[in-house]
Amino acid sequence: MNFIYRAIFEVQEFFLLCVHAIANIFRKPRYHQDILLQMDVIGVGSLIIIILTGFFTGAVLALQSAKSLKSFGAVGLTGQLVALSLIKELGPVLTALMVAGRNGSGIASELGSMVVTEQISAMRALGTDPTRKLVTPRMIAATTMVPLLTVIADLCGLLGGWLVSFYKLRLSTSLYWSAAMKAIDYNNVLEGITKPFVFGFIIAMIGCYCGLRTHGGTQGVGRSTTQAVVFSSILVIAADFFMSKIILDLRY
Amino acid sequence: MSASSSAMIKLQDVTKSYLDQEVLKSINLEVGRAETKVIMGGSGAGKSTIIKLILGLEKPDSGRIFIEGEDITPLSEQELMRVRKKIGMVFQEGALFDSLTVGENVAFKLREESVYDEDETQVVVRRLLGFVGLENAIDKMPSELSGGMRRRVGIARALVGNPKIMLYDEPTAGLDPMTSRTISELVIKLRDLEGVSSIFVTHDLSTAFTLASQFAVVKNGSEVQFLGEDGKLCLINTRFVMIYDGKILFEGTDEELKYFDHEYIKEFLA
Ligand SMILES: Nc1ncnc2c1ncn2[C@@H]1O[C@H](COP(=O)(O)OP(=O)(O)O)[C@@H](O)[C@H]1O
Ligand SMILES: [Mg+2]
Repeated sequence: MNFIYRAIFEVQEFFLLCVHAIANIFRKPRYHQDILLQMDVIGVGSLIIIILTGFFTGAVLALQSAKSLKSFGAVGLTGQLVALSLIKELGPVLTALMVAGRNGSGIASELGSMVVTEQISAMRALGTDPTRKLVTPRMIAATTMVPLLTVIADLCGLLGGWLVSFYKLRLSTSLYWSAAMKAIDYNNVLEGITKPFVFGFIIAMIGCYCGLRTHGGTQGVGRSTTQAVVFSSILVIAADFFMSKIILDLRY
Repeated sequence: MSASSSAMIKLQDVTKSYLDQEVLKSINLEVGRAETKVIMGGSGAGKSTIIKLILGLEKPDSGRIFIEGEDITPLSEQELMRVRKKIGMVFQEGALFDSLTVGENVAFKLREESVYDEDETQVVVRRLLGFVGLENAIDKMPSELSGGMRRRVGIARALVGNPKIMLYDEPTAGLDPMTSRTISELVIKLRDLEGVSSIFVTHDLSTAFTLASQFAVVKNGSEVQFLGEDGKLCLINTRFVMIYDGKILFEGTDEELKYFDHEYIKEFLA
């Protein structure tokens, strides 16, 4: 009973934090400097790992799918399969998981150590709302940067798929790209952009929530960091499933 | 309104528990204008909790808290921001923002309120860092400072906006006697020359007795002198408060404390 009560309390606190963070977008003061800094940390900082992740994902997709497609005599469709899987599922999810591991944990440990060193209390004592100064900029930065990173991951993946198709599978460049283009229609792209938008929000808010509820000194910071990565990764994958389901229901 | 209008800070039957632990059972406390209350008590006695309640960082379970006669217990976080502007708070370890330089830490409140332009901000920051004797550290990061310097920057940051109330949470804990003395002198100067009301939490007896026996005067227009170094004086504007078992066990002057007949206090003073 106690456990259920606690869980409900935590969920309620989390939603309150989300509502506050969103409401702050429409009220002054706004912290443009902090938003830009966070965009740099999340967007530019994650660029290299996103490029590598996207590239190798596309490459391995081409490698594996060509093997299956061959048995149907449809190797020519490799480009389409790579593009479809990347844009709708793997691009958004893998990007989000990488950002959750890198920035979700970073946000939680930064805010967590601010809690245990009383910097959050000091900020409130100086008359500044930490939600406004710390949470909202991270939320804005993550919800804008994760979709952008996803697009980059998708492009790198297509490139990786093409390299494998061209050099390993001996497919012609035009065959690969024309097949890929078939998958890149309005609906798929919309789905592929909506998902990372939600994922970015989840990563930032879970990171902030876990960080701000840190207690118990330095050990507590470690605990919060781990929790942030675990919770945001699970939520990203669960949200992916439910969003895919809703989009499929809507479309067909 | 109420009889509390002359007190800068007033706590009335305040209680506070964390989970199932009753930290404060019934606290009644008043701090008048230009008065300092030195709060003492063992570790975990609830001294920091009292300070957090006064700032509105935590809410009491029952009882009322008045700041300059205004009951702050029913106020929302948004409304509390206005009250907090009247209060300067020095945290236990300084609680400096470690991503900002010393100068940016001190300028934080001014920049947030954006009442001053950049030049005026710089002037205020330099004046406050001068007051705590750290004008050369303006571009340093908090991680480059010693413990005593961090506390002094914390004091400078708390002084932005000339608050009439200062709260110090163990500002001399873990510091060497010389540095402790520098910090006590800052507190005495604020009390005697600026008329600041304050609560000074400590379990460092020598600092406490320094605060209770020395006072600052201005000689020749600008030079500050500290008198009463022999420790024989007993100032009426500085009183001791001893917290024990969630209640106030003793309140009075340092002389009265020395002769107060209670085992815990005897042990504390020994
Ligand atoms: N946020 C909190 N959650 C749970 N317990 C707390 C919290 N803050 C303080 N406490 C407990 O309240 C008691 C008093 O703490 P505090 O006021 O910090 O004592 P001190 O007199 O040493 O400053 C301690 O036992 C501490 O464990
Ligand atoms: Mg304390």
